[in-house]
Amino acid sequence: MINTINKIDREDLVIFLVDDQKITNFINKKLIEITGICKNVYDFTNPKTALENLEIHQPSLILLDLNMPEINGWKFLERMEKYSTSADVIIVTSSTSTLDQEKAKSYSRVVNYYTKPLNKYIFHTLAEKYQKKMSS
Amino acid sequence: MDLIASKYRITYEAFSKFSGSVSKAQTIDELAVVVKRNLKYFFDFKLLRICIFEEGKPVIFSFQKNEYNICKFKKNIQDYEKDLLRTEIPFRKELDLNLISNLPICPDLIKPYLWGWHFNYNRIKVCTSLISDETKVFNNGDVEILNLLVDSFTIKYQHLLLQSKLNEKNKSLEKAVKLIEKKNLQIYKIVNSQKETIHIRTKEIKKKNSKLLEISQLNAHNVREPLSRILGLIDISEHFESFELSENILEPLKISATELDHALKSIVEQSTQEISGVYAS
Repeated sequence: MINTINKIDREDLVIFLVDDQKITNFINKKLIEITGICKNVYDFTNPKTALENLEIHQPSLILLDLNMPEINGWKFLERMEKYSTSADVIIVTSSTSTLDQEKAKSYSRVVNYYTKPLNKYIFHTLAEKYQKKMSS
Repeated sequence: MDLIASKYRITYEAFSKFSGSVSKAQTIDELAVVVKRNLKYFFDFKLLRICIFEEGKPVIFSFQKNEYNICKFKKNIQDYEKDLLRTEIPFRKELDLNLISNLPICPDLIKPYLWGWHFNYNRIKVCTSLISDETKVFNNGDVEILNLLVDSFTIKYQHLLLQSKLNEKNKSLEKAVKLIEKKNLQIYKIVNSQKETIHIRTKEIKKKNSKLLEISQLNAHNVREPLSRILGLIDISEHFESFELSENILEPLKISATELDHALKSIVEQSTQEISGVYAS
């Protein structure tokens, strides 16, 4: 019974991975697969393409890198406001700067802030949170 | 008696006029001129010499009718003056022209007499000598006025000498003060330029420090980025089958490890450049 509900939820949950490093996206995609949060994962090495796909796929969650050429994480957050989307953002960065962490708090859309690398446990926590959210 | 009394009165008036002129004299030359002009009102004489010895050095004033001479050479001291300086005993004797040398007196003296007196002041000795003859008679009664004359002359002479020494001291003091002011200005300039240099150097070092901090932060990111991929790849590797490992794990591991290596090399290069930049400038 529970499994059935979960299956439906998983199909509804859409996650965007935005990182200019292909390998990072590959790792996170694999972690999502292992933890089984959802099957609808879209990864982008070009932030511009990710923005363009926001309204089409309507993601619930975006894992966003900060350090990217042309459109960095902060610019991405600002440009997101021009689109019709209710996506939450989790910042995933290799920077350990506390300044970035403070800055992230000023964006209401940002729900969490992680330092790379992510791991299975983090994704399990995320799975729990978003599956509950989707079923409520 | 009336004659003597009136002579005293005339002499007294002459001396008071002389004293007034003496006090107005500004230089030793002016003093000598005053003496030359007034001598004839005090007594008759052919030649008057006033030798002032200060610390063994002589200044010889010689006065004749309408002329005077100032000389500072030791060789011009007469033998009788040397005796006078030694014995300090006054004398009056017939003048033996053979015993004097280089004295500017006319040879046609009639029964000439030589007089000599010695006076002691605080720091100086004064030998006064006078030559008279039948045409210009000097007598004992004139000695008193001569004493007064030498007194006021010597005192004024000392006064002028001190004043000129004081003026010289003042001048050298002014020079010293000017020199000190000049040096102070130089020191002030040096200190200011040092301050300026320190200020510039401090600014440079602060700039370099913030640059180094910036580099270290950037590098922390550049190193952590590929490192996080390596850790992530290791983490997920157990979920791949053996045949999948090469393509999915080893290949990206190699890429990430190479990038990490580049990042570390670049840190060492940049830091070395920045630090050597600090000491080179």
